[in-house]
Amino acid sequence: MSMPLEYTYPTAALLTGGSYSNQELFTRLHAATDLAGVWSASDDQHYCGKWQVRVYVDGQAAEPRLTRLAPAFQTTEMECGGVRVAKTFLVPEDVAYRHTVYFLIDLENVSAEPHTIMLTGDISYPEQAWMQFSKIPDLYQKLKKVISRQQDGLVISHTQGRENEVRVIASQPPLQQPFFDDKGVQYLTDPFILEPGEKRTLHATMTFSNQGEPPAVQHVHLDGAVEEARARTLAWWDRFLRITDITTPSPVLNRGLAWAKINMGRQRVHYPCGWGFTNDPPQDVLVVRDAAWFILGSDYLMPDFSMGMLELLLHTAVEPGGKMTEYVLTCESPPYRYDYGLNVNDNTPLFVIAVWHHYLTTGNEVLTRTLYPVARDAANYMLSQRMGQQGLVYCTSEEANVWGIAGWRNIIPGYQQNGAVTEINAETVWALECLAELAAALGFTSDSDHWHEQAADLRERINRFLISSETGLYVVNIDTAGVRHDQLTGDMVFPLLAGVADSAMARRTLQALYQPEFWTPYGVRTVAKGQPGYDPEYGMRLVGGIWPNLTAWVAYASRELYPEKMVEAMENIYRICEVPVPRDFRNVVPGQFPECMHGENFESRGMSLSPWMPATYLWVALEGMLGLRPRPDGMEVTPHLPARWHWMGVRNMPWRGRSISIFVADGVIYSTEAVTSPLPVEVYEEDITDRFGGAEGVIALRRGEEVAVFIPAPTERQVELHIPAEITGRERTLRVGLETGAYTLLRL
Amino acid sequence: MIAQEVDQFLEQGIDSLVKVELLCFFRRNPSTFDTARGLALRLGREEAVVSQESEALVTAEFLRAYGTGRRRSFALSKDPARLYICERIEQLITDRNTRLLVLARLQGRRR
Repeated sequence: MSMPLEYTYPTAALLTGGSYSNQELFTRLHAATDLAGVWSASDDQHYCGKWQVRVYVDGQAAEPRLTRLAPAFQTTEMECGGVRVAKTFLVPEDVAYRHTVYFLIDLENVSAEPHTIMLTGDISYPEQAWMQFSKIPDLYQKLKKVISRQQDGLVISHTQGRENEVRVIASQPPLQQPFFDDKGVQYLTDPFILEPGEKRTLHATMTFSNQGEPPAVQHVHLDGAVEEARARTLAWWDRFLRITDITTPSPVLNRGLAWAKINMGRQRVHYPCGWGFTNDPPQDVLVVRDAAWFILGSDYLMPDFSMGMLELLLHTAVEPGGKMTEYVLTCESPPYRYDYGLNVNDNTPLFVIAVWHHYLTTGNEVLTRTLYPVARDAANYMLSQRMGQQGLVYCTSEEANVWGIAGWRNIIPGYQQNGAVTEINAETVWALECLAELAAALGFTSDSDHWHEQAADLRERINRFLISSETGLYVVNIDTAGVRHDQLTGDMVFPLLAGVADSAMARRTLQALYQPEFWTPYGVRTVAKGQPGYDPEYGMRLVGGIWPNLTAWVAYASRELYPEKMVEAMENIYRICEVPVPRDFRNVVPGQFPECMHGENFESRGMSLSPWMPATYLWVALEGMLGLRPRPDGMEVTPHLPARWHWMGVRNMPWRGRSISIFVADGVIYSTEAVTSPLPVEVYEEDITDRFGGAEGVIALRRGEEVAVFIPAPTERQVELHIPAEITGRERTLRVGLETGAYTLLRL
Repeated sequence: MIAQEVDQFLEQGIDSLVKVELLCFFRRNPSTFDTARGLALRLGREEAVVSQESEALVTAEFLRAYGTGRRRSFALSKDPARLYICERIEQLITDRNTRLLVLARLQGRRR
């Protein structure tokens, strides 16, 4: 690893490259920075399956040496015959036409001899199956055929049978006569001489369109426009990373949190019917459960995206009767939804929680007044599904797999989770409490009382009926045959998340989850080792494998009783993202949270970038560690820091249309908003950090003439603080030396 | 292995895309007997370039030439060793997996 937000590895140490995207497209890369797929959000179509760019120096192919994974791009470095080559792939941001991808080839001749340079490109447009990626291509996408032609130096390819589906390739240096077939095109560029000491940047661009040739041809960039796109993209990511800038005493966590934001930024998709993100990119499937969990994090980073996704769900995901569906196909017209025929699911209560959370963090009352009736109907629907003498929310399905599992682990072949499911009941209590608070905030007092009463009643029933007499812990479920399933699974965390478990029960549950049967250096197993049915690999690793989101839930549930375990869990989650040889763990990509791992050898065989995990990671840091608790009347802050931590901070975080900066230092809260807290609070008027030269992690707050400058040191550091003249009368530089884990608070 | 084979082609004077196209064309159409202008039309290349590259292939004994001036015409060599090289080049150029490597090496090594 070289820089905090950039990972550099020997290319051979990587099985695969990164996932890069903007709101209109999604791409996957190979380790050597060749393109392994381009998908478009406009129509859920794959526009390219492979684009391999090779650089030849005097006829010899430059071999990949190092690969750099950065927020905005991936680069593979090569050296061949005294010529240094850096091949960069970039998905542009902040440009007029986002259906575009770029290769930029930076060359430098460091030898004393001139060298002949030429590039080759091997493009296959149909989607391809790659062993590095878990997703299997759709047959229709795989069998696409194209017709290509060369015109005005461009290569233009149409899909046969879909004439408006077009890709355009441009290159500098220009292409020689390309070779066409029905899969794509192979080309060579004109060879040229790179003189000793000379530097040159070459590039190749692909634009695509589902509206015929004109948009793609018009926007295919050459020369200066490509460099401008690179500069704009880098600047966009730089601005993005300044939002919700979190600093903790743990360098691992700081990197993990920065990359969580990067990975969240990569999930934004603008589908034809609105904003969303998918659970298995690239595709147009928006799962309500995943959207709801994502919103808890994105409300603190991309609240407008959260809003867009809630609006999309409002219009597309509500089933008759008030239940929220399982998923929506967002490129269909009209959008198609499906609930797997389950009478209850976790999507419904999680949606209510997301609505509540979005309102409290954004204060968007207009949207919330539209959403409230939907959330109310969803809650009423869940309550209408209480059955039997126990009065618990009850899943009636007798099917298996997605059609018979009520809960988040719903893709286990042959598995059933029906009847009274603890996870579903706990989430319903959580949703009811959220709805009660929301109703009160909107002035629906009687509704609020009703939801509180219903939550209390259901909470009491869970604690009466869903605790195993054998283990003393929550059961998974009591199925439709009345059989109690008291296998030890990670799902027993849900009553803790929902506030259903009392302190003693929470302590017992957490102690069980911290045992080595669950707890590993890379996260928490879904099912404890040794339990009936345990398998570290089977069932998408949901019966013994490790899912980082479960680990994050356990971390959050630990916040009050065991904050040191919360931090440990969060560090464990990110550990896999920084292993020395990622290839040893299969498709691990540094900086990207994998979807799930084998429960014993920790290999990642699911998605290399979990779409939902980054948002949950951010949520745990903010609401778990820093202890933010949005309330209708403002922010409450109750930090849950381990004893060895004396500080933590966040700056420039979206909060109700404004921006808030908060840090806690030795038991005092410093904030730009009047937050409430059991700790003393010092309120400042504004964050003026940007005037102090941008040293990492520094937060400077001003009230009147007084300025407080917080300088943290996750690792030992020498800070040069540039104090502007307006603060102390003359410009000066202050040098501060800090030991690992320390901080200093300057008052100017 | 392919790189070594390509180096052998280079030693034989096959060092450009147009030469490769000419040899592949004659290999697929072994009875062709045509002028540089006719070959240029068939390949979609400029006549002057085709004329120059055809003459080079005559010198390298891959092609035979008859006549002079605008009526000078070219045909494929009958030498089995040269014909074998033509066959290999066509195989490598037709194969999607080797085509770019061969052409990049041929042209990149040219000085």
